[in-house]
Amino acid sequence: MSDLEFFSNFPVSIKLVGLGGQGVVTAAAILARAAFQQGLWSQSMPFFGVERTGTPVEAYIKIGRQPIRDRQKIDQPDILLINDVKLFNRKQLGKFLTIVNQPEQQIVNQRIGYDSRQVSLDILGKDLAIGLLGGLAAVWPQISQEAWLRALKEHFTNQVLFEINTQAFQANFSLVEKLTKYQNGQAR
Amino acid sequence: MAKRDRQSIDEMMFLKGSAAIAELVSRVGPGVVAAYPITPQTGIIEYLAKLKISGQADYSFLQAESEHSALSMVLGAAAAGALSYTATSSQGMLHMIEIVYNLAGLRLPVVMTCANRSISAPINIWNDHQDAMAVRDAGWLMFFAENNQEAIEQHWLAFALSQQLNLPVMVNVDGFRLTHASEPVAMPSEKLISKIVKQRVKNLLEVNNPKTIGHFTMPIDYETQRLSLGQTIADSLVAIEKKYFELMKIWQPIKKELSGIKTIDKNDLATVEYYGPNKAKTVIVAMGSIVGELKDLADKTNKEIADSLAILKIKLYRPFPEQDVIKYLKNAQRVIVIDRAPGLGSQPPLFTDISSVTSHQVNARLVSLIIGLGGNVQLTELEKILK
Repeated sequence: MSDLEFFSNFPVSIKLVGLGGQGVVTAAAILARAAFQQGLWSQSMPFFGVERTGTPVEAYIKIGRQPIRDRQKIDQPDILLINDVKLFNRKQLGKFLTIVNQPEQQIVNQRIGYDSRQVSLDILGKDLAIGLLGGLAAVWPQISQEAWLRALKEHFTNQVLFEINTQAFQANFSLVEKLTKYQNGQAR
Repeated sequence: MAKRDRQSIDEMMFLKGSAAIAELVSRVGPGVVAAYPITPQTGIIEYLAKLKISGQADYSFLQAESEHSALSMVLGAAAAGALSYTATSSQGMLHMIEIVYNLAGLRLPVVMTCANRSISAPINIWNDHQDAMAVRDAGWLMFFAENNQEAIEQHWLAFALSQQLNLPVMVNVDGFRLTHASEPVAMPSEKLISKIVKQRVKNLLEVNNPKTIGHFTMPIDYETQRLSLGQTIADSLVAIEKKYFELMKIWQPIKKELSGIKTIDKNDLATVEYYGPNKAKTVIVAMGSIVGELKDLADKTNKEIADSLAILKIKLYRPFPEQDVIKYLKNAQRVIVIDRAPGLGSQPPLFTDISSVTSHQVNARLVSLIIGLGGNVQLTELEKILK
């Protein structure tokens, strides 16, 4: 296991990609909402091709201490989260961190791969991008647990949905935390 | 949907643009909402429908069979004295276009959101200004929002102005770039909104005193009425500026406390906002959400060479704020006008507005640039020109 370097600057740009139906837009909105709950300014912009299940969807989340005015895509985001390994391209990585939902667990430089799908299928019955947020939270502690939970509660007004999505989030968090041997920003 | 005792507070909310607009509209408390869904406006009317179904709103919500019917319903409701609202985009705007003209000719107070989207053929769902430009001569007041905060303030202002002036008002909001973007907004309470917006409008039609409106008219009378409408719209600039300051006076202190967003400055008017150094050599004129990127560009450029670039954001497009535009362009050496619509067959629309008001009044060299048709927003050509 290599030592993951922490990225703690603001503003930060995060790109989340997946296929239609994997909840990319929802996850991006929750991430941006969590940053807002943390007292930061955030913006979530989804981009899709044809509006149907199965086609690639990407969302850009920009977070900073000042209002963000730009609404463009970013060529190389600071953090890249990929919910479907079919969309992974080793020539296109996040500048500081990449997390890939893939069957094999591995850490290569600043790239983490782990099986988020298995966790999400168990809890949610679907391979949803919300899992990757849990993984992100484990290695990017800029947003507190309380902020994450408030964001999940605000977004999922249905109690059952809130519970299972939070479960999936926490399960992914624990998995990546163990994998990377980090806890609350400190190396164990 | 969360319980709606929230309407009674001024608060920071984190919302998708379409939800923010719908939330503001619901807090205004319209009597009638009639609409037909079209991407990218759907989020607005779905939110309003959800509120109605869950018993949290009491407007009549009518899903029409088409946009033509939706706006006809809104027209009838407004004529009967109800506060009426609808939203559309692109092909929907074109489908309802004869009613768009009717509403202005009848001088009815209606507010409509246009979630700007390109026009077919070929089919494209993404953002440009062709739909707004297709109706720019119809006689509506037209605002363009830079971000979701401005969008909700312009809707609030739109309701107040439509009632005061008896004119329909359109608020243009870039599809996807604003409607589908989630960001923080400061949301005024129902109570604050109602300080400048009444819940009913003067009804033109009364059951007990039947009359006909918008009837057949002979040439002289038609021309007189049409020119009079034009004059009313042109004269409304004073009232618009006044109402804007009235709104900002009650809102700014609360907004500043909620969000820390800067208070109004002297270059931020109802009609335009001038961003950048006073003596900037180049001024870029633009409308809508692209101004966000342009402000970043101005900051970056001025760091390299001081006083090189400023942005003139047109907020009120109709009536076109001639005097304010001249005031802010008269010191520039070069003016680059960015259009998000091509104006096929002639110069693009914003460019023709700018060049006609500035001819003989402004010395700058004018440059026309069309950016981002069908959502293809790229600033590379602009950056090349600026070098």
